[in-house]
Amino acid sequence: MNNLKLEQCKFIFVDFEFRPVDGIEGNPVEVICMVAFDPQAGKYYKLWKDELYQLSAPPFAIDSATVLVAYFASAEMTCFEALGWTMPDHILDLYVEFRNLTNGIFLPEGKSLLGALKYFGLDSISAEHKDDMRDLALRGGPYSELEKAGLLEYCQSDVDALYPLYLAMKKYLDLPRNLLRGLYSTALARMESLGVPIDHPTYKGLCLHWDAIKAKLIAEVDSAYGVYENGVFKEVAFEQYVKQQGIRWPRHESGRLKLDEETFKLMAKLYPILAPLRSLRDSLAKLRLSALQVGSDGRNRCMLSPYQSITGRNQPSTTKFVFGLARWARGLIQPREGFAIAYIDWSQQEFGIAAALSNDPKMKEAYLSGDPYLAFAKQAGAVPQDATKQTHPAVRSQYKECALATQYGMGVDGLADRLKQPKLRAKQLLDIHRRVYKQFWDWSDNVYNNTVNKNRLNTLFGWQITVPQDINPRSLRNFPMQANAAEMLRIACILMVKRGIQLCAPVHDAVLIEATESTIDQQVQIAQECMVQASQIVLGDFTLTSDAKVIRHPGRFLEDDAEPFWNTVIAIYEQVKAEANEKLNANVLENLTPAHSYLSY
Amino acid sequence: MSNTAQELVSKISALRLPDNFTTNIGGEKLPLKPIFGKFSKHRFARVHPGKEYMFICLTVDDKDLGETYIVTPNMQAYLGSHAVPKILRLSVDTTGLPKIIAQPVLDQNSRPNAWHSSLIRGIQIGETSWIRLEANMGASQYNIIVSKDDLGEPQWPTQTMDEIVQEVFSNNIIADENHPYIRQIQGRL
Repeated sequence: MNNLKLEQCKFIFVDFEFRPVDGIEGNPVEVICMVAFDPQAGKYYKLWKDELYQLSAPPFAIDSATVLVAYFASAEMTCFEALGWTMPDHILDLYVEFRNLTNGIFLPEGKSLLGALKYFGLDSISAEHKDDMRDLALRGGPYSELEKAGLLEYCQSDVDALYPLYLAMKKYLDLPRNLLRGLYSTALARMESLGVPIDHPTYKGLCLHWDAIKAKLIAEVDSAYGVYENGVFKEVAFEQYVKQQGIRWPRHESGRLKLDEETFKLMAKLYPILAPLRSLRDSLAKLRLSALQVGSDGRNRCMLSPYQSITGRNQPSTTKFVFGLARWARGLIQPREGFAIAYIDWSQQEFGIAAALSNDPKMKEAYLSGDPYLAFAKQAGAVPQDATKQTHPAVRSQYKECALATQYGMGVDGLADRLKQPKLRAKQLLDIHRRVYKQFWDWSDNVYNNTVNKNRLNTLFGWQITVPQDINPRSLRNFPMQANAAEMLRIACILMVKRGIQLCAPVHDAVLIEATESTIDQQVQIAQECMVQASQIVLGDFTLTSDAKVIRHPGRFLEDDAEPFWNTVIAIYEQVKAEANEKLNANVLENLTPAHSYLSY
Repeated sequence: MSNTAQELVSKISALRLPDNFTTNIGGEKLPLKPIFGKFSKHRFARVHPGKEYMFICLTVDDKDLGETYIVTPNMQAYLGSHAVPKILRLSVDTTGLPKIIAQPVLDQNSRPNAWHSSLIRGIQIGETSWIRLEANMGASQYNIIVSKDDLGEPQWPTQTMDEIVQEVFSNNIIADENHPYIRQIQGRL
């Protein structure tokens, strides 16, 4: 990877057509056909599924100088996985490189292959023809000879488009780092193939009875608030409620209550009494359970959409990916019998990255203390040196909020709201942060000035952003932490796959892994080693630690604050299910009555 | 860990780009421009204890415009009692703002002035501790408030005292008998 030069490489351009098995979203992939092109030999490889499934390796030779070129390579790697082929070491994903080249720039034609071709003024097939062919692939077989020829021809047209696109992008390439980004597609393929284990019967039951559950849920949760009328949230009633409770609710300039998700999230944190109402609103507004992609084997598989966010993070669909749903719905995640899952996340990752990148000695010391928030309070002189989380919970909490606020780019007003304190207190805390972590702030000012000068900012592994006009300066200051965290996660995933970890999904700055109950502890240890190595690779030997939560069958993935709402939903679900069964039995009995009567004669 | 996994770690490590966040090519942050004034009653400040940051001179306060001038010694004959000897001291507050403070020189022959003596005391304490001063009108002197917590080390500017005085008083130096202030007190147009 490191020593390869563009001129020495042998490129193979490849594209697959595929669909989920039986056409059911959430199922593993079924390969339909493949076209590959070797420009050096001027040779095409066009194979239909029957031939592909016969092969134990790709039909073209892959040696240490071969680079596989694709557009959205994770899809191609998922096909490799489905075919049982060994993943290549060198992958150039032109989609990722196009994203990186244009990150922060508005693209009127989008970032698809067609959009990239148009960006460079290259010819392409029409979008309509592409859609028709995709539909044909998704329909599944049996295919007529004409349809087969059409699909292969379409597949080849994408491969033919890749070569000129590569030539157009060649001058922007930075090969070793391109290949590192490409290598992440192998980890993605593993995760997209394995998926997240779901309690399938409960999921199906919830989907079946969701309308009835929703109605009862509103009735039950709203009994404490009285803000719904015929299943509809009433602003007037809610205004009355907050007035009665003495809650000062944020308002728009017009005077109306702010009822957006963010406001509810913040207020539910400040006033825990509102948490069930927030979960209810969240569930009713966003939750389309049936959209969750769960395969026939009870695993949630969906496209993880790598490099979609401006910081290069994955951005999977919030309706198709189980971690995108309301928090209580994550209770559907349940390891199979004999198995366990583990959720492993870096401890205070952003704080640690900020400390390492800025090389602020006090910040590093705070991170290494294991409780950076308490250490911050100690460094500021707000608590004695022997203070603990138990002896000074209130002060620690304020310093924690302050440290987090600076990471989120929050100002005085936002922090004051979170602390339920006057703005003066928020200002004092933010000033203290600036004073205690002076080197961090000097570095942050430098990042900002540097970026404004060059109009560009990049991570330590080359993910870059061209600064958009409308970007919030605070987001820009936070970019090195977020984007290097994304690099760290990608490297950790690559290392984990290399070491045979069963990786289910990335979850923001964490991962979910799976193993048998007897091996889970050992697998967690290996995964945590990979995370340590990834942090050292990115941060130049500054080590970030991680926390792991192991869940064994029949346990569920439930964070503490989500458990009460999950329990409420499940209690209602059981009730609705029992009512439905009763109704069904009554119907059956009713239908049986004549026969029964007849028999009794 | 297997050899191949270890090799991969080494290979990825070698791809790390140089850290360009800590370099100064984005621009160097210049020190804040020093100003002249009194201690803030809100912000804590420290006073530079070094002799090299004490600048003894004559000053004139124009109470009408709220301006302070420094005066070259040869102009004292024109200014009479308007020119008062002061020791200019360098202070810096918690935000890093450098400020010139005029320390009075006590005249043993005149009446005791508690404003002056409390200010001098405050400056002396400020040499080693973070302080702020509040005017106590009832007691006709300053309340000196010392910070309860250690606010860290002050960030002193890198310029010399001469350079700072020159920057602060660049337009407010009386070195000529035709200076507008001298013309004004002499009633000259």
